[in-house]
Amino acid sequence: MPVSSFISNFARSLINSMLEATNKFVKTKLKLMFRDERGVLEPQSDLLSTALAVIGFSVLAALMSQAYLGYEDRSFAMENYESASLLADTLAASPALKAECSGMLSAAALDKLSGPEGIKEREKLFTAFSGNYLFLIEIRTEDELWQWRIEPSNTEPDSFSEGREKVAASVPVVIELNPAESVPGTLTVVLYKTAWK
Amino acid sequence: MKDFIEDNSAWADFLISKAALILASMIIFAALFHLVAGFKDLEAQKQLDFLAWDFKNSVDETGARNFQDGFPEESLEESPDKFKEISYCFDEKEVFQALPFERDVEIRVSGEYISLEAESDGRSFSAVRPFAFRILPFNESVLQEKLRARFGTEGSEKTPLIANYAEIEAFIQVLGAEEAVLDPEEKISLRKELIYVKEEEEVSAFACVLIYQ
Repeated sequence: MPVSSFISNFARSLINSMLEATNKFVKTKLKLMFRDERGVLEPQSDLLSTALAVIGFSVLAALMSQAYLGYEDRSFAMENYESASLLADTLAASPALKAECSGMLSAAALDKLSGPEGIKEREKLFTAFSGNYLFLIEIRTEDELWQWRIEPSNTEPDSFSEGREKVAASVPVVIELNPAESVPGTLTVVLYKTAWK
Repeated sequence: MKDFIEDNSAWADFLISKAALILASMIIFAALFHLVAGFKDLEAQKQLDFLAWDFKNSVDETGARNFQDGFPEESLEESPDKFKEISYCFDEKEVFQALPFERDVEIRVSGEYISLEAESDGRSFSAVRPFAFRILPFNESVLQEKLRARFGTEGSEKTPLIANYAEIEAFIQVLGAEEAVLDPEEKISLRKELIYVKEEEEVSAFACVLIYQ
């Protein structure tokens, strides 16, 4: 008991003496600073405030350029999404992809268009579109059991590589697998970034 | 020198710091004014971009309307109204009227793109947008004339072109490379036209949009 009270007393006196010393030191320094007439503080404060203003302005400019770059990126994505969406709507209504009697997308027509024997059909399908937009069409059933990929024939081999920037838009469609079976699915137009955009 | 070193009045520090302060203020104000001027340029550029995008959208919508491909029989049955031309006038657009170029904007169109160019205070601004559909910058009669000169027929449903698609596509692409200058104060016609092709006894058609004044 006496040992613990001795330790606590010692600690208290040590803390008190440290606080007293710190207080004295700060007071002395403040006193010195206020009475110092050498003009050391004033020019430094000017420089500090100027530096703060410059830093503030730089931060503002950086934030604004960041916001502008973000806006540019988004407007690029939005514009191209609109084009992809228009192409998807147009292609979903294209008679080349549809069954003659039902008006739904025909699996037989899609087989032909996506297969190696459908070069002429693909050529006809893509003739109406400008070469400015590099896109492919993906059609898949909702259960993902069936899917078709239609690419223009006259493109470079690495045109649709995975690493390229792209924007995609999908529309819901109904696919006629055979005269007795139709399933829901989606038609997606994937627009790849070219030198134009 | 001794006096200078022992001088504690800090007048040199004071003068240097004030000069730095004035210089820094000047730089900050110049940067701010530059930023404001930059915003005006940016706004003008965005207005041009919007006009190019709006025109491209109108052309693409014309191309997407009644999309036909390879079914000439259906298009023959349809009323000609479905392929009627629509008009577009830059001068009627509020954004065009608000442009800071006093309407001195050069508008050029080709089979590939629409381009708007203008100059203001020695700075040039331009906006280009590519089209999604096949475009030709002239009217129906010029198209028929050019097709007749190249393929012998004018590509109508009664006189289809006798050639393969690749050949026609290459020819149309060359035609589309021509540029036409459009007057922003006059109406621009956007007309969807079908070109009929006979290949191995099978007649099919593909569409292109004609842009002309």
